[in-house]
Amino acid sequence: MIAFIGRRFSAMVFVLVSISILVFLIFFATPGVDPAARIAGRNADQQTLMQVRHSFELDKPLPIRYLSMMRHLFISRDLTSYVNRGAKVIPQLSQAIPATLSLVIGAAIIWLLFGITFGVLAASSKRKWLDPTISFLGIVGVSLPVFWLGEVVNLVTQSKLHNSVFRWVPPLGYVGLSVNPWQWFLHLIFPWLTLAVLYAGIYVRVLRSEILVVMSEDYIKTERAKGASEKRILYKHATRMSLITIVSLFGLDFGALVGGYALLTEVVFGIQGVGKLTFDSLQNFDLPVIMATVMYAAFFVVFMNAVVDVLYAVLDPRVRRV
Amino acid sequence: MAIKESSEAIFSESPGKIALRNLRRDKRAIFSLAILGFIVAISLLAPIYSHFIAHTNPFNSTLDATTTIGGKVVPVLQPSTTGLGLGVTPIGPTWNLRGYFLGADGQGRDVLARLLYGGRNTLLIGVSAGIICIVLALLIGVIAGYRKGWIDAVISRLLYGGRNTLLIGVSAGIICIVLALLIGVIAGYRKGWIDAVLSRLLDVIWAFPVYLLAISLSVVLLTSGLTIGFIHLGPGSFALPIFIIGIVYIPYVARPIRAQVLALREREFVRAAVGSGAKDSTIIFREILPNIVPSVLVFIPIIVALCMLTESALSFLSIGVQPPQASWGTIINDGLGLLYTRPMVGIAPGLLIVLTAASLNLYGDAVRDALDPKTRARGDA
Repeated sequence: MIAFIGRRFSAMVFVLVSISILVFLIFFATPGVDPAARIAGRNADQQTLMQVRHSFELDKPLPIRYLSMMRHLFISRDLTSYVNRGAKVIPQLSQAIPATLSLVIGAAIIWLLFGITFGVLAASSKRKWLDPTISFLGIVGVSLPVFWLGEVVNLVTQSKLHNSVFRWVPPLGYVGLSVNPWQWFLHLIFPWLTLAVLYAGIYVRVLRSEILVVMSEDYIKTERAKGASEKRILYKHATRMSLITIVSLFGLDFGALVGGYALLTEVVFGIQGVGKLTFDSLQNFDLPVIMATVMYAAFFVVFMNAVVDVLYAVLDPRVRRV
Repeated sequence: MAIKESSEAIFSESPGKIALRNLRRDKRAIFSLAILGFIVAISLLAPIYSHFIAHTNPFNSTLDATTTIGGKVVPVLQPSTTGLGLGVTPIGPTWNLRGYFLGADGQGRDVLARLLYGGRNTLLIGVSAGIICIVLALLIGVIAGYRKGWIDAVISRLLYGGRNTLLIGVSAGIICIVLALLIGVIAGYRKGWIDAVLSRLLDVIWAFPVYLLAISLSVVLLTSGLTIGFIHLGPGSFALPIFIIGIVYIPYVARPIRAQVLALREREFVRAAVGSGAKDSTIIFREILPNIVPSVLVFIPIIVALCMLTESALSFLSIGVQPPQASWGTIINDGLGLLYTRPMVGIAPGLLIVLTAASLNLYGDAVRDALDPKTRARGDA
């Protein structure tokens, strides 16, 4: 087991290094793209361009620039922004991480809770109307643009109704958990729900169909033949088996969230997290910041995938040898 | 007698006809197609609406425009009355098709006209990206699944790193392609520890979040366009978001197709074709492709919906469709600043996105059930 974990995590480091090279190449080696021209602004003359190239070290060969950027990013941790010269990237990033983690973890708890409860309910219920309703909600969930949903939520909670029903909703933004836990909760409750709606819909559908597939397996028939109660079959066997699928799905979704929907949610709700930081630096083409945030998000994805693999190996010993 | 009857039943209808009949009977399919048809129709009619009914140009800002409400001429951008009274507030919905039905945006442009034009762009990008994605995925999936051996090894590695392929193909360069090919070939031939190491390398790209990849590529490409050899795509070109989005989703389609081809290859009828000395191309086109058609049909609506949602998200982040062109995503972005005064600017395009994407997904469900009644039976069990 320990050997498996060791292998898995050394592989993780390898993956991360490769992602960093990939991102670096996208930003600095795409044909027809010249970061110096972008920094110097429109209509910059040749001399300014030369100066910019020199002061941003853009005149050195690619591999050297890559190594130097990685050194600044991970070892000396003093990578500086292209836009606000002198502003360090790492502190900006580490300030933004708690907000993003709060958002993502809170939303994940909500959608797992809803997804699993209603998924099991949908699979076991005999009521005719429940099943199409859940399928329909699932479809709407998949089709909702999260940034738009966030805008609508803001419209409802921050506009006219703000003086009556939603008086308790604070203005947009983020308050740290350590600063004021209650305000932290109030600021995040709507972003959480917005983000969770989408995934709850998907998870309900997946879990429901998984449970139904497991229910038609032979060993469930054996259980029935042995005289086990339907309740026991549903919870002890069908749901438990189906949760394995949910665990692996969750690992992938949770990791990918940071660079995807969480970014959009942060922008709409004005939460100063990693996504908002990425968005702001996109606006002014601040490559070192984008590089750092992309690396962070990729790290998150890879880490979550590795955790899922290890969890899998714990659940299912056959995987360990692969 | 009994045998004769059943054989008649088999020959009377092809599976395609049965599926089509199932689909025609499916209320969801009719309903979603009707909505899609309506949305496509009104989007195509955008120029007619703006030229002949509303008489506006939705791409120019018209800060001093006026319109008539109840016989009175009123300016479209009214002085703000709330707060400090600074700035202007665009006119709200007039609910009159003659102009500003849904109100105006911050630059005095008719929101409804922009919405219709934006719909054209969103649909165009969604559908083209979806088609590109599916055609390329089909190509890759079939070749990989059919050829097996080292071609499959290379391609499936590339698929695992599907987003890698994207990066390589669209942006950076030959260096990466050569490396990836090298890796795939060596991994396929050598197996053992080399394969293990290289497979890890391919996990890399699998690990790269779709949105971040699309964002990174868009940021880079949209600032200066793309130049590869003689081909130059300008920053405002729709080809950029189309290709970026279309290629990002290739692995989602190509991997299941490859798996299916792999399974088909072992079936008796393919073996029989191989045994009778049929050419590879004949086998692929006559035996394998027809058997993949159902799953491709199911993928089309779902992938198009996914591409549309991604397009609107990128445009919302101002790295998709570039102004003065509109798409539903850019209009939602325009509406962000007007959210509390003129909410319709932001709400209307979002509703259309949800309606279109949900119809596409619903239609996808209906197609799946029509092609394979078993899935539905299993669902009802």
